[in-house]
Amino acid sequence: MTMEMPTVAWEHRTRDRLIAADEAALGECYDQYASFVYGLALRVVRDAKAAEDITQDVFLGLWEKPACFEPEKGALRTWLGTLAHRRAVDHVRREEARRRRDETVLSRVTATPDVEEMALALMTAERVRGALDSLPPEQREAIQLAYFDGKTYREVAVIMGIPEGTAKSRLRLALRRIASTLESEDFRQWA
Amino acid sequence: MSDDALRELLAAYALNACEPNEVAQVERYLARDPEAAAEVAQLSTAAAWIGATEALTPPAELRASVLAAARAHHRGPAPDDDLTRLYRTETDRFETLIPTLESDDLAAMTANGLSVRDLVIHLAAMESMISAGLGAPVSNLDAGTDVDQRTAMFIEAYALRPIEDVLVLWREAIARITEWAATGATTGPLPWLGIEVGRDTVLISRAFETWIHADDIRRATGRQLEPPSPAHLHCMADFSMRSLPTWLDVSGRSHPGCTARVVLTGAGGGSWLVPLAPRESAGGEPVDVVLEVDIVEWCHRIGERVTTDAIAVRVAGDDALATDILEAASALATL
Repeated sequence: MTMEMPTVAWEHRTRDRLIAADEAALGECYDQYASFVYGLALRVVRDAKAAEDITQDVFLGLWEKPACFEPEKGALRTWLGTLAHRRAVDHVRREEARRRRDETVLSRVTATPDVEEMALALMTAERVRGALDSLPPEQREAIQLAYFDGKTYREVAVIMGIPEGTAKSRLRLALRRIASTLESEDFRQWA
Repeated sequence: MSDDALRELLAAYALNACEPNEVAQVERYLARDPEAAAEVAQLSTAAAWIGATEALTPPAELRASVLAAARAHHRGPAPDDDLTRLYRTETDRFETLIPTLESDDLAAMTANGLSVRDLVIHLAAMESMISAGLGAPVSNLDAGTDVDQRTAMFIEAYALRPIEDVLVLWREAIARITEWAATGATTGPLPWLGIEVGRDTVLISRAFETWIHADDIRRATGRQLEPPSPAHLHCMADFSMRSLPTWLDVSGRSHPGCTARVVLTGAGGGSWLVPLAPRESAGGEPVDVVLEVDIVEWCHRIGERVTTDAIAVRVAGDDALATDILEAASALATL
């Protein structure tokens, strides 16, 4: 499979094609980022059907409003990821009460990793995993609770039994550390 | 909340981990502090990469389902011309503003006397009126073409319904207008005036109203104003210059045989020679009057968001002509 690297130039061209309602461009974006969007959504909502719905919403969002993605402000991955995460967190917060009542064990779907996923993206994800693993345990837990469990920093503080200010600073330190790891790995030109 | 306190929330914001009532405050802070916005961009990239550690192939059938849904949600024919793109860009920008509004924001009063929520309903009432004029009513409301009456009926009908219901109606109307714009039609309706006007007038005036109301909302909720792109500002300004002779005539302020040079400064600006009466050609230099004004300020004047007394304008030549031009310029607000 030949896939152009997601450079800023590629993102500009793809955005123009999406604005021109070129369906093939949406297909390419899907092939490039569906595993990322779906995996992220599934990790947060822990419900395969909801993760599929979110994935569909995210790509439809790109299809319907391509002009809202501005490559000069950030990469497509960040744009899609932010949207997917926001939708997933909204879903979790909506479902939380229901989830508390219904203790059904949710099974994770089995699927093989997308062999087409770009090797570089896999490598970077691997580095980020390494960076997450190397965080002090209290920072890693704060990130897990906020990002993957959809908790607000106040809820993180309550769960961890720490002041709110400490929760905020743990999140900040952890995220900055990951950002600086990525920067030092010189991933920016294609992130 | 102080800027220092807001700065402490940037990482939580990038992780979608702020308290719901803090999100709008953080976004307003980001709008006024480019350094903070750059930091959030960096932190959001890091957050997205955390998400990438969980990449997992979705079920194979999802791809076809997404593409089929895209086809069903087709935005209408591709906006392959500048005017449709202008219209769609402004409606898209408006739509992305709505989810950022908290309940306090929706209750805030705007400059034109409607709450933010009711202003959104007003816009849906107007868009759906055009859509109905194109032969595709998107609402069961038989609300007529009187702007105030129609707006009041829509506000009443949607009073207890979520704002999302209003957006559904508004989006349908936009899709219909976009489809019409691609049919090659040269004229379209402005039902509240009971007239047919050029396709460009329909698209530009709707894009313009959408932007002006988006900024009404931003102003009412303490957000930074967001003008359209320079190219789109230029397009709106150019339209206003072409229409100015007619507007002068309609408002009883035409000056046969006279010409103005209007210089709009700022990104998207330019210089126009404008005859001050309809069906005339602009005369050459020297002109009777020169007006120099910032392009966004000019657009605010044509949308009646700044008065002729308050507008920052430099005039050389006949002051009375300049006054008539500035008075007549707001006619776009009635389109």
